[in-house]
Amino acid sequence: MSWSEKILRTHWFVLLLTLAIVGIGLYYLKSADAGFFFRQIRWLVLGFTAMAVCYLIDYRWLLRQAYLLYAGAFSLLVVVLMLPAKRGAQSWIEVPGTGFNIQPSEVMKLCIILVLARNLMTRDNQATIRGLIAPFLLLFAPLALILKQPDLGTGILFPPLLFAMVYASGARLWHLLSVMAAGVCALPVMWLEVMKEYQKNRVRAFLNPEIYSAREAYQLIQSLIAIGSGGLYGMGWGEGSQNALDLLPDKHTDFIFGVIAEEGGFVMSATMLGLYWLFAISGLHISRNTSEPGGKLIAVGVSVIIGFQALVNSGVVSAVLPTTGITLPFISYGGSSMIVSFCMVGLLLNVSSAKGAILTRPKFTGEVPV
Amino acid sequence: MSKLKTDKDRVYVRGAVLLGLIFVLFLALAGRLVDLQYFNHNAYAETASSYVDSSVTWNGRRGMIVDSRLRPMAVSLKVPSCALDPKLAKNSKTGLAGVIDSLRVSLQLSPAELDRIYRISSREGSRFVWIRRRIEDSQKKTLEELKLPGVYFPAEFERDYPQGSLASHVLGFSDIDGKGREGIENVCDSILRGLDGSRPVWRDALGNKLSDKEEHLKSLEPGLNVSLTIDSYIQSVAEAALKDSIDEYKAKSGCVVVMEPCSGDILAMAGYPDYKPENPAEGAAKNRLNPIIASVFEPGSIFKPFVIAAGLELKRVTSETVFNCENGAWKMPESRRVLHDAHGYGKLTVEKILVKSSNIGTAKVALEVGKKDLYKYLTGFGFGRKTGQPLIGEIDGTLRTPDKWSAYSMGSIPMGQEVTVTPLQVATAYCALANSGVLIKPRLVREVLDDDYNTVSAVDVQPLGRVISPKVAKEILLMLQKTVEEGTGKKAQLKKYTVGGKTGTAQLAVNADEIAAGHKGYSPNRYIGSFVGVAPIENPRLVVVVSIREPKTAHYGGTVAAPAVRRIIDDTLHYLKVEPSPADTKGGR
Repeated sequence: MSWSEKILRTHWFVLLLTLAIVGIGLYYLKSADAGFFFRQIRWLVLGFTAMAVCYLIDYRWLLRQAYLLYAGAFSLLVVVLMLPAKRGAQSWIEVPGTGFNIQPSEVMKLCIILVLARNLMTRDNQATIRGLIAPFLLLFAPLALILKQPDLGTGILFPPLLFAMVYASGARLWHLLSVMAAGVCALPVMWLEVMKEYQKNRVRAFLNPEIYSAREAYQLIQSLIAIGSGGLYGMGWGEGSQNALDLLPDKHTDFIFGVIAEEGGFVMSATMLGLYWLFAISGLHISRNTSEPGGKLIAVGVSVIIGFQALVNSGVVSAVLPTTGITLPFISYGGSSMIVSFCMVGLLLNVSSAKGAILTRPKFTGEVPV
Repeated sequence: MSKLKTDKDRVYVRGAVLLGLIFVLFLALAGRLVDLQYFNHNAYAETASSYVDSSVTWNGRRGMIVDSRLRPMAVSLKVPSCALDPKLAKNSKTGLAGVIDSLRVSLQLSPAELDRIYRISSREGSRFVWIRRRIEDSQKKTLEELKLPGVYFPAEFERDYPQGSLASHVLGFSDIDGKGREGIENVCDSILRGLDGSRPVWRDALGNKLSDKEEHLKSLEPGLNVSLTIDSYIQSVAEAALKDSIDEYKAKSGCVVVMEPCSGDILAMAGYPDYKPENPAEGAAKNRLNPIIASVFEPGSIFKPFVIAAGLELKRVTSETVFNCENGAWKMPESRRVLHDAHGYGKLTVEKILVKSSNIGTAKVALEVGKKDLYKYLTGFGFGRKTGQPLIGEIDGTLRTPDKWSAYSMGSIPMGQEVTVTPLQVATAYCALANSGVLIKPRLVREVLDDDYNTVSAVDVQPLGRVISPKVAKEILLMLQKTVEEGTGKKAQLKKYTVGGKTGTAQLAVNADEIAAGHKGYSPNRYIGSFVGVAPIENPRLVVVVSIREPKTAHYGGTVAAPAVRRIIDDTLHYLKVEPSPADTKGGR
């Protein structure tokens, strides 16, 4: 398929959704921090470029290279653990001479979708426990490295991604539920053996924000005040006191949703949630309308990871979940996250165009050309 | 084949499960947002606003008053003040009393101040009290180091008059809140006043200021600048000359006004004694009155040129018409009034009548003109009504309508009695003589300027109409020149420039002491000596009126006021780089 043909078949709805999210995000980023606003535009340009690349190349070629890409990302995760920690975590590799920091866990987020799709599309034994071993190993190996950094925020997205992708490719629900149950049982072990003190404090703060008000829960409380004081219609752009007073830490990155909720009110925060939700269901819809199994799984992976990331981020900001350090896709300031998110949109559009899938297409009949 | 690829139902169910799961999660989160933003909004909004500690109103910087050459005459400077949030002080370890005590020591607060501070602080819910407005920078520094809870230093603007008491009657003053109270400060208050902004002050529970960002100032805008027609240099020359004359003749008070005839611009106006605009409460209240517009006097002989002008304009007389001046005493027809001249004259031409300032001669010209026409011309020159300059407090003076004139009036009015005028009315009327007979409304404010001195609006020159023909105006000017060169105004002569002028010596009405001493009508020894100068005659650039009230060592206007006028004209014409008068313009024709 030629590029021009492909572009004509673009899934415009998903592209417009993305642009809407980016636009609203930029608007509030400008309120949160005008300096980061201009730097973000630079990342957006790079993001759009990355999206175009991921859109225009043949995604099946990418799938064929999936293991190679996975290996590359994996080695980056190994390398990052050998570098000295920055900001209390070994999460970034500085590209010499540019000052730009790559976050290998973000790169892995993209590669894990590809490698899982690649792995699952070629087999049909996902309904058995044996069939689950390979995808679980593929996912938990890098996840272990990511948690070691620690980058809980990125890591927390991996299990749902895995469950969604293996489930979509035929795993039995009770198998997955058993694994989840086992995971829940392992939580005390995690608490005692794996989790670091500051992570424990975050959980403690999450459970008892009043007690931890001065330290760990400070951010949570400020965030709740921001969201709550926004009310139905918000305090108006640039008028949010939590924002203007810099009371909300990380307001331009992980907690930007707080600024949106404060200044745009419920109207805007619900709109944002709605947009992410539409993005996720559009992605799943593309998946259902795609017969090619690799593309199908990529679409599931992208929808789930973007949707989940938005959910977890807004969940953290509204204090439903403990602080994990996760960005709001397309909005939070940051290079790696922005570029990777746009790559995912590119892949999704790619899958959609490859089979000419559009929302109004007749339902998938289950007939698969082999 | 995998089950996914064969089992349609299952595929459908799996997709639906994922979609449903995502929907449920998003719905749950939306529920959380409803909970936070709708049901608990009030509680959170209250918490948020509890950081907003108090909202302090900030005055926008008041605009400057500058002179015609943009020299600053009134400016606003930023100075710190000290304020306290009693609530924060109460909640602190030291308590309200501790904080106020520290302040008392540092600022040497008086018992009265302490009383006020305690009274306001102890009011229920009180969040703001001035400790002291306008403190020294060093005091602020000391207090800042003490880090007293609830104490902070809002910057305020203080009005500063860089030229001291110069032009104080024009400038007026503004109060501590920056509101103009008198003079231009009052009249142009809405222009000068900056748009006030309010800046919320946010603090955490310990009273630490969380934010003091300039951008939180809402709608704060500086005021516009006002450019006057006053020239500080000319003003200072005029004030110095006035003060010297008052000192020399031990006078009670005096005033001066300098105008430009072609535009009606008031280049200088001053009264003495004056006051310091920075501290208007210092002197007596009457010193704050602007005598140029708000005091009247009987003009005396400086009124005569207008009578002559009416006669010439109506062609009832020419400058060569001869009148018998009766050797200094003349009983008016149809009246028992006997007019006197200071020196007795025989037959005088109209020109000489003015030059010698003969009361009898002027009265005879007035009789030729007639009551109605005299009244018409005097009102035409602007007497008996406000000139329309912008300052508040101007008074009309008195010029009664002819039907109220008594049998004496045709003798009194031509020599400047029975009428009262303000110094500005005199200057404006002489400007009409000097401006080829066209009366112009006096202008004091030239322009309104923005921050970069771009013109926002300009006040145009406002001609009010022609009173006499250019020919008559010229004739009168030449007579005034002769008055200076040969007549009563010799002390106003200059070498380089031709000067015209008219002296005036008016007796003041009797005061209580004098009535007790048996005097009636006019006081025996209290005078106002005035002089009006116009220069240069061939193309008048200045009209200067100086009026000295109750001089002790002399009283003739030609003696007490003419030297001051001479000095002002000389300095000002040099300052304005006016070409010296050509030699052939000297000596009258």
